[in-house]
Amino acid sequence: MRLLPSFVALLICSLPGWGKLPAGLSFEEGAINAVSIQRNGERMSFYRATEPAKIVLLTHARRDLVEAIRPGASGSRVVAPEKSRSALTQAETFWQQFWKKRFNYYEQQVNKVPVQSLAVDRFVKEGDLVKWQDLELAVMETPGYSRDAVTYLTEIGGKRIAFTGDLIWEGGRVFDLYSFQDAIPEARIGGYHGYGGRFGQWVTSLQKLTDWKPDLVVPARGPLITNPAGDLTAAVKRVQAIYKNYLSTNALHWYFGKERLELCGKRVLGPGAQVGLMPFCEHVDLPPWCRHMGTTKLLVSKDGHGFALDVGGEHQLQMLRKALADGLIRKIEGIWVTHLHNDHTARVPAAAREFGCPVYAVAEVADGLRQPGAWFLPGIIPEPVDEVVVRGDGEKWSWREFTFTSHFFPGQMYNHGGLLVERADHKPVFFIGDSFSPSGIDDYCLMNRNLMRDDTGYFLCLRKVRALPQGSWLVNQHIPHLFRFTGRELDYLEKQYRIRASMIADLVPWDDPNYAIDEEWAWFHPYASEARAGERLEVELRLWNHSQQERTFSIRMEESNGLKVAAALPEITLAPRATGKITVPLLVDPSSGPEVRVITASLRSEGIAVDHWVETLVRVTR
Amino acid sequence: MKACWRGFLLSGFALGLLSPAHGHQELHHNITLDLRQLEQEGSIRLTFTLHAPELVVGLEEAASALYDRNWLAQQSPQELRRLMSLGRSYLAARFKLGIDDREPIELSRRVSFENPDAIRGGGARELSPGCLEASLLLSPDETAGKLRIDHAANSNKRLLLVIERTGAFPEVEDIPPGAHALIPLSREGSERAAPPPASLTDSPPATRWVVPLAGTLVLLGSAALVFTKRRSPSPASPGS
Repeated sequence: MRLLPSFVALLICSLPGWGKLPAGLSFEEGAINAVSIQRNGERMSFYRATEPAKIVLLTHARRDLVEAIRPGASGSRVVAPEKSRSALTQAETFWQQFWKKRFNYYEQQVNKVPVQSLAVDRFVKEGDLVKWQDLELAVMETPGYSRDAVTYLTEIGGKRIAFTGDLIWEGGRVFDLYSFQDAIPEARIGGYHGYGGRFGQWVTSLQKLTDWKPDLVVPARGPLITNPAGDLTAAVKRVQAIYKNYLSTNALHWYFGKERLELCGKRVLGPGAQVGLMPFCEHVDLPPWCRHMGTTKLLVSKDGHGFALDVGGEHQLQMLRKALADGLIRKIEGIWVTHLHNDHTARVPAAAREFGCPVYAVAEVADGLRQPGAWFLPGIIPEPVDEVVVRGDGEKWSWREFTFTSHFFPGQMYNHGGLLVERADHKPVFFIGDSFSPSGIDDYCLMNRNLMRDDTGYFLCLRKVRALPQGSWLVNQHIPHLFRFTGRELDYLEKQYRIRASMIADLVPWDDPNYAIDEEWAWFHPYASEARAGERLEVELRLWNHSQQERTFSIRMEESNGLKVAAALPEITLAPRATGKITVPLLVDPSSGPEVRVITASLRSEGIAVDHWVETLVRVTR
Repeated sequence: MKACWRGFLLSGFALGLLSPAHGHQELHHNITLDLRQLEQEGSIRLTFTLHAPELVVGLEEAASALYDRNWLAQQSPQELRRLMSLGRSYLAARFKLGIDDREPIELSRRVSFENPDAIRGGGARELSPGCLEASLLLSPDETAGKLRIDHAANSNKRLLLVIERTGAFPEVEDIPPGAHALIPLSREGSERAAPPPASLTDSPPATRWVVPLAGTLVLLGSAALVFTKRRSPSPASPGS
């Protein structure tokens, strides 16, 4: 027993950050770190509250942080950023509206929004002071990882301490990259095309914090940051290298030109930075048997029949109607859908009905066409296509004088196909949807799921392009040209992409960078359902083990008002790089009113702990 | 009982019909040149699709326009009038239109917009969210000759020019910044035999600027090869 105090002291000394923390400040690492300051028997809490506090401070309004602080917020004074006001006070409204808003959606903001509002006593902004007991905490706005983030700065026991939320992870890293997707107003680029749209703000925030010269950074996730200057500098260098690499293979160079991409680059790299862009590859006019109609292409056979690739919008449908009415084609005999974005699918259901023709797609596209409400991806249309003929990866088929080979082609988005079109009098033409332009890769929207894995994503697409018959052409649905890359250009694209994957691996704390670029590594299918009060329904939690090791995942459903879990959930073990699913039985509360209900899941696996991570929506009907 | 997701999809269909997307309008400038009335009435119509977030001036305003797909629908009549005014300037700064050697057509003065309600609702052609369109009608006394459309070098986007003729597939011209299109407006030229015969050649016709460019590059490359043969055995990779 005499050894016990020594053992306890030894244990405490071995805790992370011990010796770095001033008296009264406690730090407990977890899925969300529990951080508190104690003064005269009272407590101030950050991030995760294990017991009631006198005052709680939120750095931003991400759902898992809000839920982690909620137990301590009851009866306490809650302080939150002014820019979090809407997410914190109108959470219920957000989800009611999201029922419809999720279709044709291009805002590309992480929707890890609180399910329930949180009462806030004070909203703060840059320069405000939060006073509590003898402490003063200055508010520094630090957007980047999120739009709304602030950092609280104070001095305790002679140490300058910054409570930074998700601004930075220990070691000059950050939790994920998809959270940075946003518009770039200076270059007039919308959120959908804004890969790392807030990298510029992030670099500014990191440099602002560096200038404040913190001794200790206390993050919401991961270990304490005891070398702030080194970590902040490393994070800036890493993200600048990643963005420079991204621009070097960018498809948008073709559309927007050099000046606009340089403008994007300067925001992140600094005013004098040089941006290297890939020159345009060889491109020529389309052959006369391929007609460009906005985002739709029409193949015309020698005997005047038509085969459409996508039917993007009403205007494209009218052009097809007009071609029929003018006798330019006799009939439209099929529609191939390249991918799930609404500028390619909006009028596919109407066109299939009107022309009485089959709709073809690869399996990864077909399910999203048949049951679009089951998916949450950019630009999903609400209307299903009644029947889709699924064509396999590599399946050959023929139409008139053409031979088609269908391909799974996970380029611009994961749910994407390609169609190789061959006819005797022309070099093969590979219709690659929106996956490449003559200046590179269409990987500007991470919500499209651009996986950086050897077995899929652009690495697979590049392999498929290399394997095409000699001299084959590529066609992008937006571009009225044939184009093709030389072997050297393909080498360059692949090499740069591989370098970027490696850079991202260094920037994020996951064992595989794909968790940090793929928000959908865990998701519910269907994303949204309808059920009556008292009904039982089933949803699937679909999991992607991006790791190169076997993983066992355990799942905890976070029950909410109106939705309960009807049975215990088993663990699931997935082989390296495998996918799997768990059926989750849900029960709608019999007294539940006609509203949209949201239930979330928390996940655990070795080295992975994420709470309230994914959601599924259930609209209760009468 | 299983969830019946299909039911709500049908209810969501109405929403989809209200806001179909035509594509990412931010990728291209789009002009449609309608020559279908040329033979009958002698007039032609040009329609310009404008991506409204690119018109706004302030950074904050541009941000909110880019963030919110419904931004245009929420604008007051006064704000829409301001957008139309900015739109006229925007078009005039990017495109110069002229027929033969006559005075250039004053785009900023002559284009017209739909009424505010139509703009907020996506226009008669059901435009993408955030887009509005301007049109220009050229009367018979203006349409003899060749129409030249100059695309400004600093316009920051490619121009897709769609030419609609009676009894023919729409023709598409992809005009990069700094280039121009020349379109004959003769009445005979407004119609074309349809459909054009399929190419029997192995290679499709190159764009008119690719051939001279390729020729120039071959010449330059040959010259460079002669002079640098000994000094540069392996050219740099693309983008370097």
